[in-house]
Amino acid sequence: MSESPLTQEMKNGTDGVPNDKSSLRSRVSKHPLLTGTVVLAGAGLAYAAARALMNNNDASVARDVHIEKSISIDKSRAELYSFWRDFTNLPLFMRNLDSVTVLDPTRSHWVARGPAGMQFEWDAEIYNEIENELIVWRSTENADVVNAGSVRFQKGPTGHGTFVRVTMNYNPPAGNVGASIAQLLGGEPSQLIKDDLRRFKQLAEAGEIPTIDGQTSGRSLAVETESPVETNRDL
Amino acid sequence: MKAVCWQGKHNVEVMTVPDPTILNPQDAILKITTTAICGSDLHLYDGYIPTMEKGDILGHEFMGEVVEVGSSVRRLKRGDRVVVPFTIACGSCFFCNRDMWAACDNSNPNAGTAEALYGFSGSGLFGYSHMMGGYAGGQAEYVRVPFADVGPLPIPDDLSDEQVLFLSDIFPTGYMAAENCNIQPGDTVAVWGCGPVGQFAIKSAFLLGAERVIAIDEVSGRLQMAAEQSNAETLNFSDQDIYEKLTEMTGGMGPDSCIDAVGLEAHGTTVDALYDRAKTALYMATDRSHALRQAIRVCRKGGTVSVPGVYGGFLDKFPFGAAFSKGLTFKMGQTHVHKYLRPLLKLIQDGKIDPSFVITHRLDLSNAASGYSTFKKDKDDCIKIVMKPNLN
Repeated sequence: MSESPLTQEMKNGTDGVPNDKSSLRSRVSKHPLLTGTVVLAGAGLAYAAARALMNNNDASVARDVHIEKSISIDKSRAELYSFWRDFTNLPLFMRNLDSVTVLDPTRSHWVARGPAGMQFEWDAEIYNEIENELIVWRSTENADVVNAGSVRFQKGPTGHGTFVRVTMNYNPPAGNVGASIAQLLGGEPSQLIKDDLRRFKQLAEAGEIPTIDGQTSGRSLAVETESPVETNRDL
Repeated sequence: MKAVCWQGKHNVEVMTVPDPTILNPQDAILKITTTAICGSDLHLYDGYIPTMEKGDILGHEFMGEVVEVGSSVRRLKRGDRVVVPFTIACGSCFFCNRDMWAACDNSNPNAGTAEALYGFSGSGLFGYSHMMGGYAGGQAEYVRVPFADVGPLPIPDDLSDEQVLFLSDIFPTGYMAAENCNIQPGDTVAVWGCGPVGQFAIKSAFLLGAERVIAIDEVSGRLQMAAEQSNAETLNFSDQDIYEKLTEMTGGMGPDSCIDAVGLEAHGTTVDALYDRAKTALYMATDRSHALRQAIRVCRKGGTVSVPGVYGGFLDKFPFGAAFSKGLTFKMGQTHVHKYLRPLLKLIQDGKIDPSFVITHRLDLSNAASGYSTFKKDKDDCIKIVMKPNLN
């Protein structure tokens, strides 16, 4: 699949030069939601599907936690869809998501990290998709965390961009019955998803995610600078 | 480098801290040539603004020379001499596209905190609490400037630092306050607070066509500056009833518009002002709004109350009934500095205004702590302090 200009820009900053270690990708921390339990669950369709199966009492259906969040982004549906559809982009803005490896056109392997350094992995499959409108995915068997998610791209009112609506459903990992979802994710799930969506918007609109991580202050006195600024200035 | 760090209420310290570094591709690093202490820095100094942390670098009015740019910066280059807006804006969101730069969606890394308190977050700000982004400020030798192609304004060589420095905040802030009054020929504008923002609001009101401007304060040195620099009529609120006096001066009608350039730490001698002091002292309210109440009461029917003064939390005894029954218009908010940079630079170039008239003190950065306490305690003589961090 060829990448859209937006995808290029979001991956590289705005200059089209691939990023190295200082790039967004390596600096943006990983997605808490996907930690463990995560599931980005599908808005309408995924959720409806999950609901339909609920009576089965089937532990493989993600339904214990259900969250819906939306955000307006001043980019076209097509641009946002194609960026999201390449799942390897998701760790750029999902804080606790380490990596997503695409296995084939519908299957991918996800690795996420929890607050205590716990690592969770699962395979996911896209089981419903409408180009430029909707992507729905769910974990397959043997997932550390049973999860499902959907993202819908809807045209907003004139001048109000695209409404991106995310739904996520997930079950706590097996063997962690005592742990709440919030503990596993390191925060309140709906707030974490909201923050991830905000980072998606920032990346899409502004080309970078604002940060103060690593900036100087009167608290960093103990940290001796290796004076990278001075070095760069002299180059 | 040396930087002015907030250490707690009434405690700032010049510390040696690591130099700033590029953190994002659109960042630039500036070597600061001139910086200033703002009246709103006193709100931080006095401990009124939440989410400050010990060690935060202060300062949001600064200018300097670009010494380094990030990999995505295209317009700005090393060696450029620029003034930087105190509001940080991405230049590409719904709000930036509509000239509401201080409402930028994408520049506050801690937007969730502001959102929890206010419903939505405004833009990130330099040196003005973690709720507003926690960005290190510019009372320092160097500063990191995000979105470097969006905010910083290159300055022609023939203008001095002191002529253009206040484009960073107080000149646009005073100007927007006056513009928000929608001044018509013949209008009388009353301005509460004759600190630096008040001084610029007064001058801007005249520039925008006001026939009379009435300046209100209790500090005679500030009233004197308003009279001498801008030909404002002046009222000292400590020795007269402002409502009575203003209605008398306006033929019983009240001023056409009223500007509150005081904000959340209003002083006063009336019953409601003392009540405010008691309540905030007991943590039963956060903001003292005596000046704003007075403005609402005396403003003419159908007039405008414009608020450039900073408010942070909750107002007590807000006379909403008076505002409603008179059909007042309220305009307020952080300044959309980016919108005003070029038009106001042109006013300076055309000789319509020389903003350096507010400067009363010039200090070395190392004396910043005494600068804060002087600014706080000696309002008569001290109106605006500028500092030169890199004189040597």
